[in-house]
Amino acid sequence: MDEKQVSDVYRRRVDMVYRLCFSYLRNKDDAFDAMQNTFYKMIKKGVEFRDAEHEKAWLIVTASNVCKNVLAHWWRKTVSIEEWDGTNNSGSDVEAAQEDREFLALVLDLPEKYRIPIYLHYYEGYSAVEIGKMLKKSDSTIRGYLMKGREILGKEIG
Amino acid sequence: MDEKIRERMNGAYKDVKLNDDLKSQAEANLLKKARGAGKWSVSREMLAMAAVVVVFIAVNAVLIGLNIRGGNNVTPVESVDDSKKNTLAQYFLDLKPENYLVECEGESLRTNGYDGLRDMLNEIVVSDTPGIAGNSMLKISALAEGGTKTLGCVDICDNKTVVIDGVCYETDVTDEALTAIKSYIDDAMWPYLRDGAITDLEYIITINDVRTLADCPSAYVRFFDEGGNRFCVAAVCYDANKAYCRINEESTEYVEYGYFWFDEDGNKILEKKTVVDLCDKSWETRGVVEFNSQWYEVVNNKNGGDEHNYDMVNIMEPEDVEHLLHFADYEMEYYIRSHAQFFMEQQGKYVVVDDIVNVDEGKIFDFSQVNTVENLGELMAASNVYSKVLSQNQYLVVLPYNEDGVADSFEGWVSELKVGYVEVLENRDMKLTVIPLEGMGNSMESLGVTYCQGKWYLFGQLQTYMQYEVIDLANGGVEVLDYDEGICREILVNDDIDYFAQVVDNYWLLGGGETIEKEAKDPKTYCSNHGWDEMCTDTMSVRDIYVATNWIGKSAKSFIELELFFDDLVVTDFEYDSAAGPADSSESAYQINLSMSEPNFVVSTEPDSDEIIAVTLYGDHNYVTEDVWLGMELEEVKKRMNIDDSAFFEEGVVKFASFERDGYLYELSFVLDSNGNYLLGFSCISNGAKINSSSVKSFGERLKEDGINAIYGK
Repeated sequence: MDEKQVSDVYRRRVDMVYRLCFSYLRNKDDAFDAMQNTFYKMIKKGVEFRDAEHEKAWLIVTASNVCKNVLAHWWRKTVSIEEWDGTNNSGSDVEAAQEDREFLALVLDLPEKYRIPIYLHYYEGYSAVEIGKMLKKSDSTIRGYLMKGREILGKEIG
Repeated sequence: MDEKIRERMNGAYKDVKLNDDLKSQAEANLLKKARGAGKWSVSREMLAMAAVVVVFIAVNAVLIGLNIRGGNNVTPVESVDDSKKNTLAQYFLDLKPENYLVECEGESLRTNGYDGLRDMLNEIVVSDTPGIAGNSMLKISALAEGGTKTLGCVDICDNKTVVIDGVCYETDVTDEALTAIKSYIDDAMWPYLRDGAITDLEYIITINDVRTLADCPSAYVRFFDEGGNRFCVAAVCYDANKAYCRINEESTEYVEYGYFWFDEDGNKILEKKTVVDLCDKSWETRGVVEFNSQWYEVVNNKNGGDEHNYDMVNIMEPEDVEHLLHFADYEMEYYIRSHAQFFMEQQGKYVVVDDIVNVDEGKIFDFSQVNTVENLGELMAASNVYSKVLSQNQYLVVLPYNEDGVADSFEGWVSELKVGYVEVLENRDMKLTVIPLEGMGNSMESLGVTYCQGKWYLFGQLQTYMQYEVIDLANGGVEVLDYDEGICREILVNDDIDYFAQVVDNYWLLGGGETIEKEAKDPKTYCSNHGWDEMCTDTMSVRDIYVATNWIGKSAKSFIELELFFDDLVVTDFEYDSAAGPADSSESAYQINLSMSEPNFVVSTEPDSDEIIAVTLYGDHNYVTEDVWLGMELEEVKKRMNIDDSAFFEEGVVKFASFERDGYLYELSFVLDSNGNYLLGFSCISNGAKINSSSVKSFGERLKEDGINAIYGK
């Protein structure tokens, strides 16, 4: 990949990759590092993307692997959920922003197996089958995770 | 619900993004890599660490006698011995700091712990990337609280490394040099880490103290899932001389551990501390379990022999010590094994464990292993088993299996259940009946166990909804019965079915199915009860139901029963008063709406009430009035309906009218067309109860709050 291609992909996907990493790691600094490592792997591998969907899916899979690798480290087990400070919040509706933060905390508090499919389905718009392929789980399993995650979130938001 | 979650997710994640500075900075790093000019990315933390001062410790004495060929005079080694590379990498891995700083020609990279460093070293060794391995010398430093410590310098490919007074020089690597450097690091670094980073349990005041402790190589910290990670166990290891030692080391003799609770501000509110002598060989594992809203320490003692013997100590009430012997108490034992979170294991030393599976290793997992009552108890207590004591001598044991027939966990979805019914005879022999039930092709929706007329039955609700499969556990035989037949009816009336699994997408999922209504009805009965016999046909629609019944004052439950009639789900939707002030910040719903998947009409109740207070008909209806015409011009509608100007209000390019007529609430919306005319685009008619109910919001109010799209269902 040449410099322009890297730059284009990065600008298109940086927010998505960062959000996914944040969903896994629940910590801004770690998410930043994982995001960088994901793109670093992309450069190093010199992957040629077939189309936009391939590009997105490849980055999701790679970012997931990078994050899982981080999570596998023993010290990560002691890291608590970071409260998102919402410094990027530009909205004027403070109450709505607070609700958003609370919901984000709720999502981040979900067990990982529910959290990531919920994020990929509801935010990134992937189907259970697509998520199953990315996370190497059967689509039935993903549907189960989505059902359970939805149930937990549903209890909270009514 | 899907739409609501999607909407909330969009809101929640909209600010989860990098600010422009960080984004640009990361992009610059990446582009640098892409150009191949740089060797390392610079993490955000690294930029902040630019001012870190490297503290050097004199190591002259350590290095005396090393094969140093003098300062910067480099004598390259022609070939690289792989075993030497491994040794070199390994000695860094043997170190225990949390993070490492690797510097190379003025650039630096922070790595996360051992694995991160190992990955980096391995990558360098394997890749032989020009410019990285070869002529560059890496300076590796350990990061710990309070500063940075240079560990040594290394060029892995050329095998040159040495450190003198913390200054890196190039030279040949010899085994002696490696040993010396390792000694140097051990001697120089360990006291620094020990004294600089450790926080004694005594000094834990806030949750941040625990997090600091977690950075210490001799400490183990684990937070448990209890209301926002404010409950944890922290352990510090000591050797025989009561000096700190690293976790999981052979020299560990004592472990001091404490349970800590913190309030929302992170201040300690409760603690209990204990010292475990690892010479005490009587215990196997330690963990915690929540039971009846109390947290207990659970110690699995070896004293019980084959019988499991858990000591449970209430750690929220330190003085309350409770010892429970659980061999006969299968359910309690099952509960502990299913729910306890173990963190410490005794295998001659202190071992951190994170998974209950470790505890069950070597235990009984299959019916084939059961040949005594004791084995049966073992099996029932295993963590991946659902079991139920049916009576003094009757037991139900359900085991999950995956596609390959291998014992599985109830955590996920499983392919097959083997349901075992065990009867213990007077001579303590056992009669075992195993019923295999595959998820694939199974017509059951949910599976439970129940007692009826002196017998225990396996009870499966079939997907046909009105039929049930009943298996006599003691005598075998399968019967498929309609809901009102024989024992099936008896069971339903008693409504005492303990559902434990359900079939979803050809897999079994642990957990009960929907509770079967005591008065489950088939469509025919339903029609008869509601006086619809004449119109009760296969083509009867939701709207027919609307016309046939005046729903006001009726039970919402009877509306839900329409599920049986239409074989469709009734969708429940809560409405919240988002415009309410602080007094209503609890966000409790003010209204519950029930509708079928095609919500031509919606019935509404107040929360905690089964009584329908409002019915709303949406869309291009014909039943309530013949006087509404979609697409008709506003003036014409206004004229025909005799609508007063005060009924109209405007929102963007849409005009709305809301007015009462003959006990009905009419709510109309008119859209501006390309010719500048307002045309009737949507109508909603509710009955009078809605008008009179102060808790039910009007169409107009909802429009103002939710926006037009909410009303149009977009």
